[in-house]
Amino acid sequence: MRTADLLRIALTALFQQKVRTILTTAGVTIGSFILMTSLSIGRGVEGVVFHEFTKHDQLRQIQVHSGYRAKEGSIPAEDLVIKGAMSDAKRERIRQAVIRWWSRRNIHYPVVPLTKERLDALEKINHVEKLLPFVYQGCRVYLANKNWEVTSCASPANNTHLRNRLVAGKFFESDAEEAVVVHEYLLYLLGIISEEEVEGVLGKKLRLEFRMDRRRSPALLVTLLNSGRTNLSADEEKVLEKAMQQIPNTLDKLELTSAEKATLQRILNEPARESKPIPEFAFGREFTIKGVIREYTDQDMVSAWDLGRIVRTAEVFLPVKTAEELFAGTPHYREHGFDSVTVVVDKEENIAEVVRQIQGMGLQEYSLIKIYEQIQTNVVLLTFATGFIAMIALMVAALGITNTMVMGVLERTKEIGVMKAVGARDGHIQFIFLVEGGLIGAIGGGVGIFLSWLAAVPGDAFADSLMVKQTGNHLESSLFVFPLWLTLGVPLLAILITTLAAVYPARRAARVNPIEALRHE
Amino acid sequence: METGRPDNRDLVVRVVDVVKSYQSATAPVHALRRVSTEIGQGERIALLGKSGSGKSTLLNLLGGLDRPTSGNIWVYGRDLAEMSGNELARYRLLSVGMIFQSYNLIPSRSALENVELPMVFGGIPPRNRRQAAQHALEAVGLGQRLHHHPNELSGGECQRVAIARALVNRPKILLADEPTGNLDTATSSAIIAFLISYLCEHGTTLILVTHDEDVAGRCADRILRMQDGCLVM
Repeated sequence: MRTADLLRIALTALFQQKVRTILTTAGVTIGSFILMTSLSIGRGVEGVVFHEFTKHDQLRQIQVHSGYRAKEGSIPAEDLVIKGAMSDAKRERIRQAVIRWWSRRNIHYPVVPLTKERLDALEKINHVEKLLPFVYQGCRVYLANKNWEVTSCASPANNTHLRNRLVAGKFFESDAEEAVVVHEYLLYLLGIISEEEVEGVLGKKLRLEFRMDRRRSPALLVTLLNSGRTNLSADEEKVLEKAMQQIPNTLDKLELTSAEKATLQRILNEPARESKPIPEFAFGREFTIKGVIREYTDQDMVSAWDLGRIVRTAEVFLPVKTAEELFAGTPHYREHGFDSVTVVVDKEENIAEVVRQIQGMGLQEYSLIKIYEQIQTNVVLLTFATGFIAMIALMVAALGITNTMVMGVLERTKEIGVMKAVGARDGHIQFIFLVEGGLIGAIGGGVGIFLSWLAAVPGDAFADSLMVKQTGNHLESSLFVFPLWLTLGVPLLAILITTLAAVYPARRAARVNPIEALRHE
Repeated sequence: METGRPDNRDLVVRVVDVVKSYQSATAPVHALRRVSTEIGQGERIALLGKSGSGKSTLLNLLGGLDRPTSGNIWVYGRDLAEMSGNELARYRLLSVGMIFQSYNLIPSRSALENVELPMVFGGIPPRNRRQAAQHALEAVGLGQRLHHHPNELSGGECQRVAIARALVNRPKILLADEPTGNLDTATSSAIIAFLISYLCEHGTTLILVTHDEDVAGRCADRILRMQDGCLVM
């Protein structure tokens, strides 16, 4: 028997029972649609999440912070004594809490600082591509005869957020230039107003003056006295500093009892925990103004992860290696190191290994890979849940097919008998019914895919509107992804399930006794 | 019991001690009781008997639609009882053609498609089988009714379609079970005339089941009478 005839006979049989075929196929269509759509969205969400996590290489980055947790040996033994009756497990938990709280109260500078030597050690870890130390330092800028207190920040040359905000000049071409990029607002404050003036400032020198380890900033006095001023000139700062230095000598003039004055003296005379206070250190350097960035807008895709929020508040940007070189040699950084450093790893799969080694160095670390993996797990679980429901729908549809086809065998008993009488083999009859089942799966699966494909357009539009409403961001890619394996796999699965559903009726049809069948009315 | 021998002809069918029993709800039914006979090439045999005498049972066994409880049926030297299911199907496809009292046409198929059906299972290409089916229908006088469905045809026309279907593969044996049982006298005569003409022309062996002495007399050159599952003289 020819395959084309087999298909034709099966199709004719299905066509003769249009309503029944449509209803039976509808079940398969619904199951295939749900399965296809859920798997497609699962893949799409996974893709969107991966895209979001990788578009700025965040997945390959580990944020490393100095270790602030005190070592047990450095904590006074009496502080570690846990008194009272309790279980050993609870005693150990309380002891760990004591160590943690002791560290928070007593450790002001890192126990494991991110010094230059430690950065070198981090860079030597296998799979580490590069280090981007985080520098965020207040300074005073001088341009011509004007100055302003600002915040400087280090930025890698490939910082797309800042590049996108460039309105004049260029961004850094390397991480080690002697140049700065400044905010247009800073220029405005310094009297550079019009666009022409802004263009004119490019290439000029901007002097940055840093005063490190000022434990008592004069600005504190402004805050203490509840002044409305937010920025001080250099001269004003000097006056405030002078006033601050005299405050301890004025305590006797306060309206306090002798006991209260004694308490105050005791508090103020408490020695600092740090063994060797670092002396104040000031230095300055001139940099060429290379570019100007505009104020950020809501459209700027700035995430908290890549220091975006901090970058927003800075007015002056230094190339990351230049900043590292600038500060690494200062007494403060030599002693206490950088607050944090971004470790860029060559591939996502090597993150875990690098993290393990960083932890071994006593440093604190944080990477998005764990969150990404968690999200990925959630997506997979959700996809599995919807896929499972779809499979149940397909199974129910399959049971419907079995039932319908068993009825079909009964109704077509005589036809089966005639076919056998004129030379059909049992196998021919069986095949005809199996092909009918398979065709229901193929048609249902095909229509299900088509509907899923159709649903992608309004589905994406709806998801995008939800995204905009909740996050203000647009979808960057479709949530419906139809890879080849899925486009072929779902109808094939539908065909498999419906063909299996047809096995019982097909065997029953093949076993029909032709003599009884020919007598059947 | 052995009844009837072909004279000077090649032996086509040899039935030896065939028994066919069924288990009914109450008691076993012996449809055939040690039936033996021989049929030669081109012979026209009529199996004559009352209803329930076993003639249709014997015809079904000869057509390979059923297997005997015991005994042997040799057709062209091959024992049907020894054949597998697929071999029996092939035997039905190529060696025998069957005509039934109730025509047994598939209502959803046209006359042409009904006649094509055996060739579909024979794997004949569509163009060839369509041509063959058309010739067969033209031969039975239905050249103008190719695309009519059974419900659009008269009883006689339906039986002609059934005959065309039975003969389209040019079988060596034609098995007819009361082929004129549902037809009026005139139509019966026309059908019988056509069958005799065809059989004579092609030398096809006929085994006809009927309870009508007149039909048996007109069709057959030998009559085998059956009674209570046995062949009688």
